[in-house]
Amino acid sequence: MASKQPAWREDSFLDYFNEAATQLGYSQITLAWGIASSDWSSKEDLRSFLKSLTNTEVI
Amino acid sequence: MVRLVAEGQGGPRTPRNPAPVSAPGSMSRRTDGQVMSQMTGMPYGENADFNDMQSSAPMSATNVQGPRLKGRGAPSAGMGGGPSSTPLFSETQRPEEPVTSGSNFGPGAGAPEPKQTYGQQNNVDLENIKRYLPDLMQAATFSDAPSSFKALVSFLRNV
Repeated sequence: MASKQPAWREDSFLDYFNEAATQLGYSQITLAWGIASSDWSSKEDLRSFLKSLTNTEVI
Repeated sequence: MVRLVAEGQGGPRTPRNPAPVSAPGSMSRRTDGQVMSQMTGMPYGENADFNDMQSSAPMSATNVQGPRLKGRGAPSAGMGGGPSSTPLFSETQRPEEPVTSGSNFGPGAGAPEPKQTYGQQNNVDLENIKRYLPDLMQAATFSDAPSSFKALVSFLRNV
């Protein structure tokens, strides 16, 4: 009998790592890893940070 | 009648608590009660160290020991001037060392080797992340694992 496959966990480190790498781009994977390692209160908190980090405008 | 106890009587004056307000002009006197005390009772040699540290912060009512410059070039108390410090305008204490030592021009030893660049450090970090690749590949097979994570793991495998 096959064992049950573990489920993906929201708000886990891997979830945050995936979110950060997706938003920052694969060229910034190490940065995404570091950001995901921080103590985020929620995924929305992380998204808000990533948005402010990437939402730059050249004048 | 006001009696000025500080004039002409010598010795330290310890202010009352709260400290009295200084009188103006020639009648002014210290209000902080700062007195240089001689440390005793410490292990051998440490009394002198403490007293040296005290004397490096000059007090207006005492004569500070050590080299001092006169006139406009004299360093302020904040610049040192205590017995163990080197005056700003003194002769060099490293006469064999060129003044350009430590820079990338002129005689003397050059600048130290630069530290790792961002790109080099990034590669090291990436290799460290790839050590977790077996676990990441395992997580990519979890049920409900997002496709973006599977793509990420696939990218990491080929880096």
